Parts: sequence; C-alpha cells; structure tokens
Amino acid sequence: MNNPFDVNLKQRGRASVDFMASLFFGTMPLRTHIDESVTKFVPKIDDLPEDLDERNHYLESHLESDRIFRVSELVAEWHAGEHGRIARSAFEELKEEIEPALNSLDDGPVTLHLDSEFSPPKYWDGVVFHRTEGGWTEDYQGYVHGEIVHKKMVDALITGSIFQQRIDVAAQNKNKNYSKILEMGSSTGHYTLALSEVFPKAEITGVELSEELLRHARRVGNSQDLSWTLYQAPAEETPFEDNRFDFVTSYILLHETPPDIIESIFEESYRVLKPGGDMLMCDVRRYEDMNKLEEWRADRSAMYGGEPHWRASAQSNLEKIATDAGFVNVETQNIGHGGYLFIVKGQKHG
Amino acid sequence: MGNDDVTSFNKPERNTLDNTDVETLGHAVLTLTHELWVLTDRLATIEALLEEKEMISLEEVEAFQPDEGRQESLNARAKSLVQRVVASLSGGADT
Repeated sequence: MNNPFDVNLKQRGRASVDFMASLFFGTMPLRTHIDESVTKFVPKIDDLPEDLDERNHYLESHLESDRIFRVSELVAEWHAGEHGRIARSAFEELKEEIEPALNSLDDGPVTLHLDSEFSPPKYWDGVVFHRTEGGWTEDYQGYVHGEIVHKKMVDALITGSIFQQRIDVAAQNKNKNYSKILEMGSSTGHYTLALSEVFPKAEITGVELSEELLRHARRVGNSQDLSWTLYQAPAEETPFEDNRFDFVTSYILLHETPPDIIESIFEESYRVLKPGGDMLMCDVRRYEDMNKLEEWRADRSAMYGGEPHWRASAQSNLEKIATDAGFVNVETQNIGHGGYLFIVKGQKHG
Repeated sequence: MGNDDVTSFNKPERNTLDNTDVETLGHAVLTLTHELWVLTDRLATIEALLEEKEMISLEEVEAFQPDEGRQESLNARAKSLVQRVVASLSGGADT
C-alpha cells in the first residue's frame, strides 16, 4: 500500500501545481512594475494615508488606470479562486489509490475526541478561510490542505520550508523538558509533529475546530506512531482543568480569529498552564513592523485571500494582550525569511 | 439589418461581449493557459518516455516524475508561457 504522505501527484495534478508556481514567478515583474509606479506618485511612503481603507482607496484610484496593475489583479484573483480547486482535483486523481492507506491511519495511538454537539463559533462558521474550495468541511480537506496546498503549492513559493519553519518555532524552547504540552489550533497536525520532534518525551494534546482537519491530524500522528490526544474544541474554551499543562503553544492560529477571541485564547492558555509554565504563540508579521506600502500589500492580500480576521489580528498588540492575560517575562521576536513569523512568549506567574 | 438591404446579412452587426464580460474573459484566458500547460507537460512527458522505449502505458504517463534537469526546463517553459500571455493581456507591455 502506498504511503499517502509520500505519493507523487498524477500528471495533470503535477503539471497544475507546477503551473501555479510558474504563474507566481512569471508575474513577479508585474508586481515590481506596480511598486515602481507607486513610487512615482508617492515619493515618500510615509505620506500615504494612515487609515488602511483610505490608503487602499488612494492607491487603487492611482493604479486603476495602469493596465499592468489590472492584469496583476486578474492573476491574483484567478490564483485565489483556483488554487483550492486545482488541489482538490489533484487529490481526486489520487483518491482511489491512497484512500485505503488513509483510512488505515484512522487507527493507531492517536486519540481523537469529536464533539457530537459541536456548535461552530460565529467567527468561524461558514467562512471559507484562504478561499479554499469546499472550506474546512469537505471530505479529506485536511489532506488537500496539508499535503497538497501546503506541502506542494505553498512550499514551492517560499524561501526555506514551511515545515522546517514549524520545527524552528517549536525549537525556540528546545532546552525545556516539558511533560504536558497543549497546542491551540492543531490544524492538520504538522506543528504537532514538530512539537513531537522537538519534545519527544512530552504528552501532546491538541484542540481544533474542524473535524476534517482533526481527522487528518490523526492520520499524521498515527503515521508516526505518536500518542497525541486531539479534541474538537475552540482554543478559547478548552475542556481542560486549571494548571494542567507546562507548555501552551500555537502556530499561525491567531490571525484566523478576531481580537476578542485572541484575548480569550491568551486567558485560556494562562488558565490551563501550571504556575511557571511557558506560553509561545506564533503568528504572522505585525502590521506595525511594516512600512505603509508593505502593510497595504499584506492587507490587500488578506482582503482578497479569504482572511476576514487578518487585519484586526495583525494590528493587535500581542505583547499587551499576553501581559493583560497575566503572563510575565513577555517577549517578542520575528523569525523566518523576511521576519514573516512573529513570536510572543511568556510565563505564567509561578 | 433587414430584407430591404439583403447585403446587410453579409456582415450583420451583433452585440457580443461588453465591458462587464471582460473580467470573465480574463479568467477564461488564464484557465485556458493552465489547461494548455497541462497538455504541454503531458506531451513532454510522453516524449520523454518515448525516448526510452517504443511502447508506453497510460500508467507510466501518470506516474512520470521529471528529473531535476527536465523539471528546470519545464519550469522555464511554463514561466515563459505565463509571461507571454500576461504580456498580451497587458497590451504587449514589457513585463
């Protein structure tokens, strides 16, 4: 039986994934042209309007007469709408071949607790995050998202590896000897895997809203014979008693939630941590660390990329939120290519 | 156009696409470019397999994985295709 995590796409899927990368790299000159155009009518980036909507309107009104800008928008829109469809189609070509192996990975040391009375929170319900075809509820969406979109599409576009990035984040606290780790927002289990790699003796628990992503995380854990315990539960309201874990962490979860929920996640993390326990949350680069043009680009990408909470989240002061939740020794840093990842760390008063 | 001037049927005036259709047309162009690339890759795959032997199977076409050199060549061709289509959409501007 094929290893479903190490399987080659069939010709159409392989060529389609290659095409998405070529579309990105082949249209880089368009983006360079747009940046150059902006510098012509905005000599000083700091002079751009402060308000993001106003800034967007200002830049759009100057760029809309530029055909290259309009074509770039067309390409970006096509990519946003089609990437999920192409990944799903590539999966469908493989499905018959790998389905038995995927199903066999339902069994193993991972324990999955699904909530039969699960009620999706309003900030999440019905949102097609990333504009991924089918949202998070389609069959095998965890495989499509984790193994095709992330592993084959996104990884081809970035410097380094998005999977190595997860290990690098987990390794921030590699000298600690944790016994109980809680991951907030386990998604497809790839940060969970990084946690297992860095802390092989720790008992790892994860919470996640999406049943399909949890089912895939279970396959990932079982494929490596790892005894994770996964729960379908919101990170802001976990089913655990106070003072249970010695490390609570998340990878790229916070920008998928609005600011009030981010505050609740930090408060919940504080509650379930043992006194003296560590918190480490990793998310996207903060808007305050960007110049006004970079911020506009990031915001526009989120606006049209299925990210309803990105702006408010990227504008949140995570250092203050962590401190307000009670954490001490709070510190922040950027890591990864171009400082793409923002990390906030702290301890529960012990 | 009418039967008073039967020659008007030679080149009838007919409304087709208007500005509101252009966005859809742009999407269609990119979708066709994607499909063209899938077929270009498929042809390159078949040619690569036929360099090795005279008879090939559908399974071999589906399973084919380009080696590093061939992948680089395919990437360059795909990027070139994208750039030509985008240049056409941009009115021949040098992108």
